[in-house]
Amino acid sequence: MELLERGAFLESLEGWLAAARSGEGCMVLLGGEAGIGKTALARAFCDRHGADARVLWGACDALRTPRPLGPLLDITREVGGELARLVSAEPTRHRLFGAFLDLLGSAGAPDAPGPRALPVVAVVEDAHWADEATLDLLVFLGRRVADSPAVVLVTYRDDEVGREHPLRTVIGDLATSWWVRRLDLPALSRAGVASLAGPHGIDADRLHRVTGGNPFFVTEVLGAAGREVPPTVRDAVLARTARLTPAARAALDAAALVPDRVEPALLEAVAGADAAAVDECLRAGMLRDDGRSVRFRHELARLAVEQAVPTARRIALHRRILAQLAASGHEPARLAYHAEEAGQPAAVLEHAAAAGERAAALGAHREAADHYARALRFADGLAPRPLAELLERYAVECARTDRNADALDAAERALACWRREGDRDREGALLARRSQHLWGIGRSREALESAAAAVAMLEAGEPGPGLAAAYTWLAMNRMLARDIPGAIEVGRRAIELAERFGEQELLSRALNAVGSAQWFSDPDQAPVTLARSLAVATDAGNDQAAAAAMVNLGSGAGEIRRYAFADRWLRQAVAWCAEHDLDGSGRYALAWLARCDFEQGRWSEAGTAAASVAGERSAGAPSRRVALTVLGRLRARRGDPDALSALEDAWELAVHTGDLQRLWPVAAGRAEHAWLTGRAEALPELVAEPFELARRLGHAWAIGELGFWLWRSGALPHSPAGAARPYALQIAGDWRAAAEAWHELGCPYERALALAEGDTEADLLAALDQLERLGARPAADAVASRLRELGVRRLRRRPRRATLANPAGLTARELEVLGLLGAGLRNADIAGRLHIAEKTVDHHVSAILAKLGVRSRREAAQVATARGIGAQDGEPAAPR
Amino acid sequence: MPRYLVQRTFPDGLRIPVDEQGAKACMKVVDTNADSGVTWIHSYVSSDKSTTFCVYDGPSPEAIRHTAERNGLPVDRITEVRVLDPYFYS
Repeated sequence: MELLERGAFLESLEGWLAAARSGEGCMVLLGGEAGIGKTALARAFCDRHGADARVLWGACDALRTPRPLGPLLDITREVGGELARLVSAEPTRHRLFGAFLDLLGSAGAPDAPGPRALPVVAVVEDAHWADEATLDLLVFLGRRVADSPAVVLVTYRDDEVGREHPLRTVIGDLATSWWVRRLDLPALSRAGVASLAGPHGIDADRLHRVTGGNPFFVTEVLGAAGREVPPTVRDAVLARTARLTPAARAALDAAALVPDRVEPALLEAVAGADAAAVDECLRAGMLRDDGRSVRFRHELARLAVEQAVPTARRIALHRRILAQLAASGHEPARLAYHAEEAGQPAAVLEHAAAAGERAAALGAHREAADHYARALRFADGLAPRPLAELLERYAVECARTDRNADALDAAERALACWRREGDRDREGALLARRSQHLWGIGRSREALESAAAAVAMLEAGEPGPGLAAAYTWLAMNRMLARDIPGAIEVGRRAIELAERFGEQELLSRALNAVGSAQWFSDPDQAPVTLARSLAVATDAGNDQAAAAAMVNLGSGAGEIRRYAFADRWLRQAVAWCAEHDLDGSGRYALAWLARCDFEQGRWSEAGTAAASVAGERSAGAPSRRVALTVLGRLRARRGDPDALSALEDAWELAVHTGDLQRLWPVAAGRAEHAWLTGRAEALPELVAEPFELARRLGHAWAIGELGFWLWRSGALPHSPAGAARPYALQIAGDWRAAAEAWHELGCPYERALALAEGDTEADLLAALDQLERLGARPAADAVASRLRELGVRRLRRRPRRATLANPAGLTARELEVLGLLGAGLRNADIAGRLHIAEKTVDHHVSAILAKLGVRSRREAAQVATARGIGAQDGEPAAPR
Repeated sequence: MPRYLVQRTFPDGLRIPVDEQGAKACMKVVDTNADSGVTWIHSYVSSDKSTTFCVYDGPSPEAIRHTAERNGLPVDRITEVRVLDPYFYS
């Protein structure tokens, strides 16, 4: 069938395929309403290239709860080979997706040597029905396809993808990449409809008006070969069926009840439809032959026929279909669907639960939750034990998909069941799990109570995996509440039990809890413990736990200001999360990186990173808390607008957790802002409570920083016990030693503030110089006015280093790189020295060459030596 | 989108040639700004060319600073402003 009015679209696809042939792949998002001809276009395009491209075809199914990774499995079945072997080995998602990506980049005969000849066209149909795992696959592919000789063509019904639809977020995410193209198919024009209608003698105007130019509707009407134009698609389809013999109609009805495709053998078993009946349907154009199965020409047609089947017959047919499919061992998702349609509760329960497990294993958590919910709807009369197990699994899936209220609800119901059963072991284990759900939504105090209750309950019995879980979650919660000795004590017990019972995930988490706590009691031991947590997680293939270990290696070091170590691990965490599509943890690591950059005076990098995390609407509370705090403090120090609103947003997010490490930086930021804007009297109120908490927990850096602000406002007469050294020195009045200590740590702003306590002109000028170089206007103004009071004749205000020694406007980072270039280092060495990726160094070097207006590294190095770049003050004295 | 007043100090004086090269430089600034959603409305330059007051629309102070860095322009002070003109109340 020739396609009308789709020439331009085919041309675009041709162009993109040509680009893919030379290695520049793309993803095409083909949208349009149902029946507009997306599949027809895709098919026409693929048919043209059967010989010079490799075509892979997968479709998302119309089941209310679709099969997880449906399209991927379709393609695997077609392709066989390596991918099929891998799928049956049940690999991690990341490996599976990676293998699929390899398939896109490795078209051409499997035994052909040398460069691949054939580009790949991979079609994923009906993405508006995609399950969560398939959506993740699309994001994975969309981010990486630019380097593959492939065109990934994704079709979807744009009118069914509203603002809340999960595909919308995916499209939004992908559409910002230039290699993701969008096509939207329009309806046929009046002229197009007329050219189709001409030979049939139907009024083209009326046809166009009623059908709206929808190609499917038009062809259905024309296929009915009447002179009337039925008012709806449904009527048009049913008009066509009116001409079928009863046997064929029976076959059609049965086929309509099976979404997607159906084997003729099934039709025979269920509706007594022989080959002749099916043939008649094929000849009438109602069904299409797909090789091994038949299917409706379009989902709209199937729906129309399905709705016309009388209820009693529908239920009976579903029963028979269920029996047939169950006998031949079909996917549980399908079986659950038919069982529900057939109104058979026991079957729904059995198959929906199995479907849930399968979906969870493949990472389709949304679908798993739906399956379990369906099973629970039919779970009346289930004994407490199996009911509790079902509820527990449902709760886990709800938590994975951020439906925390539902998760907690289900956990409560499950707890009631375990209590009725008198199973204290399971009850305790669930209390521990519940603590995890509570922590996930920031109800930290309740999480702690739940974990403690779990431990109390389970310690009474024999030690088992349940007690290991309880100890692990208690340790985790105590660590988060900064109850360091408590965390380590329980954590050690958790480690011992987890090792004893071979619980690898718990072991990794427990090691994480203990290691993170050790940053505050034994900082040289912390990296060792956390490294072990990382190793256990990677060995077990647990990407999330590995990310958590890396993040805590970085953020823990950052919290005690061991910046070189922190920078290294946070960058690694960001890279790991990007590679494994762990967006949540990746954003958190990036926010922490911003904090470390901020504290080390790299304000331009900090601002960009923090603004990007804070501005992302889908970012979770933990990341936004950190990012908004950094943004607020940065704006306050620079004297930029909107400092207070950022800090107050951060405070809102932090205050209900009651956790010290979330409250303290915001409180300090608000205090600093109050000081810089001349409202010192507000300080004590902002800082008093977190300060008390810090004292109770013995957190040296929090005591120091918060105590410092209390002291500044006059509310603290002498140095608080247990304050971190630089703060203690400054409060005690030894500002010079404090400045030296800050210099060693690598905190230029704090160093400058310490120097500003001095009373000699030289000290104040040094402070002023540093503050101006950072761009800390309010603090610089304050120092300048003190200098004026001292009667110092102010020299012309020295502009920021950015304009003076740096007329080319290089950023601080670029100056660093240039300095190292001047010292003769290669890019790989520069990358090692600055703890960044070599690719990043390449970018910086390109920018430097452009800004300096030179053409080679050698010329740039000469500029560096000539201007004395590379000998910089304010850098940390000793590498760490 | 907030409006910002950005004060800049040029120790050697701001020098933009009044010819095609100058026009190209200004257009380059406009393009770089567009990457971050920042729009340069116009600027006021002091007679000795040492200070400029630039009016910008942008999503955040960080975006203003980011584009300033990319364009090699200094930033002394950023203030968020709203327009007030004499005939507003009449």
